[in-house]
Amino acid sequence: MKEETHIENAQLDYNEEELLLLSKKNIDHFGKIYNKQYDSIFRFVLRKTDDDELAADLVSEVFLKAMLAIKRFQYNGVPYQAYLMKIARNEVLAHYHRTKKRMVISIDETNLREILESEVEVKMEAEKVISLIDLLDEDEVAILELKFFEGKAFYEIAFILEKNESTVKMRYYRALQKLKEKVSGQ
Amino acid sequence: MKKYDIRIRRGAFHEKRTSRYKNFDQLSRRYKKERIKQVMTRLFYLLFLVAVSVALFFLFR
Repeated sequence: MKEETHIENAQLDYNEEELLLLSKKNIDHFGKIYNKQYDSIFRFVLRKTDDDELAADLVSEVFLKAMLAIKRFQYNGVPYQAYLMKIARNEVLAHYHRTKKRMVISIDETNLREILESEVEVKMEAEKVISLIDLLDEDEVAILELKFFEGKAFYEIAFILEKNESTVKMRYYRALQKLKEKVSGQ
Repeated sequence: MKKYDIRIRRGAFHEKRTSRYKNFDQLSRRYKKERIKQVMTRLFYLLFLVAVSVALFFLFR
């Protein structure tokens, strides 16, 4: 059995920080982080591309970049997943910049209905929401996506978007307010 | 023109969908190639700096 496969499959009870330290010394340990985080990063990218093949390519680039930068990575309490999402977001934005296509936002219908009912306090057809989302700017959409679909805390969103936490909170409530006003005006 | 291409997905995302793309061994091989490239580039810059320094030394001594 190859050593890397052995490390990857070993049931080691390391926490994230220890695993990152081990990966800095021996990159084969990164396999455990890769296996743990792959699905969530893939889903995150898929929501922004709606294309399996493209998402797989971008996710592969994300992990490659993370591996190449592992020695420079400083653990500051923000989960590593947020760090990977930050790279993923930049990869997706770079892709849309290169191809000059409109950004895809793929939303799960059931999820959307739940969010609308709990946060905007309104029952609405999913199709009608499309016109409302178009009123929001790129940052507001990103904040709402990360908050609702990824379940991220404000400090993680601030880290991913490279913004201040209070700015993120303010923009989040402003975006919700904007949606409520438009819904009540319709 | 709309800013975003918003698509409403019906049906839950299935984790099995990602399994055919998940391949750490392949990524690990790519990483090793990229690391070699990175080290070679750094070595090249270092050699270039040494060569320029030596050339300047002999030119202005």
